[in-house]
Amino acid sequence: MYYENNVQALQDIDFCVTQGEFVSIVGPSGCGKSTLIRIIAGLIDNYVGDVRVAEMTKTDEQPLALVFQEANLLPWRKTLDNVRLPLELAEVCENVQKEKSLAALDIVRLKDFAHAYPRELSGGMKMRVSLARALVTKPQLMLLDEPFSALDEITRQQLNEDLLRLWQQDQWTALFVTHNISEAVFLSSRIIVMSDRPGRIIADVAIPFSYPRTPQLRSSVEFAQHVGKISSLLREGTYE
Amino acid sequence: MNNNNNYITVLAPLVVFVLFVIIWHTCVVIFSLPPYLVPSPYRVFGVFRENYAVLLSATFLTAMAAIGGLLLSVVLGTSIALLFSQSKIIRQSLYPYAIFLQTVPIVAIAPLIVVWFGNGFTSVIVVAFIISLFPIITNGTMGLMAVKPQWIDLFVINNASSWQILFKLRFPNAVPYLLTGAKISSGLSVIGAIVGEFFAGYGARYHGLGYLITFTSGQMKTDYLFSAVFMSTILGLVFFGTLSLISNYILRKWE
Ligand SMILES: Nc1ncnc2c1ncn2[C@@H]1O[C@H](COP(=O)(O)OP(=O)(O)O)[C@@H](O)[C@H]1O
Ligand SMILES: [Mg+2]
Repeated sequence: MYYENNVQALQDIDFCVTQGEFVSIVGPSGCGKSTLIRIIAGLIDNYVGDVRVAEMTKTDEQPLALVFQEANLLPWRKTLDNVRLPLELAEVCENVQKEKSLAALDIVRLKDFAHAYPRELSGGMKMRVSLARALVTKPQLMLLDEPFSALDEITRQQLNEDLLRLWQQDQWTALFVTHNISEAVFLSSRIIVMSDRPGRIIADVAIPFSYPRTPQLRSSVEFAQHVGKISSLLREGTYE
Repeated sequence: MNNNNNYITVLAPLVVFVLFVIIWHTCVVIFSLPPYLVPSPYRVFGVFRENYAVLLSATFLTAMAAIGGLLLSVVLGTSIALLFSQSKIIRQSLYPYAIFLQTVPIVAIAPLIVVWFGNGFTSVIVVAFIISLFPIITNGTMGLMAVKPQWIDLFVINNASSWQILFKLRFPNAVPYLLTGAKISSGLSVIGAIVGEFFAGYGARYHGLGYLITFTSGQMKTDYLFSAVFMSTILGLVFFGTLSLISNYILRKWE
């Protein structure tokens, strides 16, 4: 895939994600991770190749949702109205909009803040609203592009645990971009490692820990071993 | 603390005003300035007391014309900005003509407007409208264009129509910008109405401030002229103040 300025962002990308998997993509910055996500989301169409996303099974389901690096809330809308946006755009009936949005806010534990404006929320809370907005359409595939990278470590870990809980509850497929290796190991059932630009896949590593995963996992020896392994793969890919 | 600040915002300009009137009066007395050049504040106040009915009704009429022009410019200016936001080609081909609104000397085209719209209220509104249009167009267009690319992505992913992107994203984003434009235009609309009244009138019985200003200066009634100018200034301030209040009220949502 090439951008207009002749930057080749991606090359020979070929992978498959099975339904219900949690796959992370790690790679040095500028290697084309966001480009890949945008291609899958259908926001870029001048690439060479083929992208297929599972057919929708239910009529009221959106096939995919995207969570960005920033929470990207609209500042003039209250929390509830931000979460409601995807349903509003799909012209779902108002009562259903409200009901589903409140339910989505409930699962990210922000129901009490339904009538607050984004400026009244902390960074972590905004990100949870952003997750609720993605989940409100009951997507089959969630694309998350470094969603927690602007947050402090504690908040990030909490949100990682929240995210896993939501994923286990609803059984969507997750494609999660990050440059934080321990985050990737903690969350994923599989990690795809990418090389420097033009981005290529250099490794595809299965992470065997069973779900549900607890915070204690982070301090285990096996966890550290996996983090070390991914790190050295990344280093090789970067200084080839 | 906050209360204290409120007092100061009201009191400080009042103190300046009182000082100004005192200095004005002192100058008139010390240099014995003739009333037809600089009347004393006392005289101006006297004229105001004798003619307050005429002055108030003139202020009211000018205010109505200015409001008419301002409302028209907000409605049409926003529509033009919406049109401008639709494509680069439209912006490039029409923007020079929008700048024309800004650079044309309004005094020069006002007589032409009177030729076209008649010697009455309509012409005055049109002059006020033309002079207030430009800030609405530029600010509105800026606000419609200044949306984060990720917001557009969000809307596209959710299959939003271009209509929805315009009215659920671009327009709400432009509201603060439009209000800034309207604040600038509020003062301009008063100027426009007064300039309009230099050339068009409301018949033999009713006059606007613009008419009073030309008439009294022609008659060398400088004290009367002063009170008409004073009312114009107050009117401009009231317009700006009202728009600021409305804007602050609406913008509570927008942070
Ligand atoms: N719109 C664009 N136009 C041109 N080049 C771009 C554009 N977006 C990204 N790039 C380039 O493509 C490469 C990959 O970018 P990106 O996918 O954002 O990387 P990552 O998300 O892994 O940091 C970078 O070198 C970047 O400079
Ligand atoms: Mg990126």
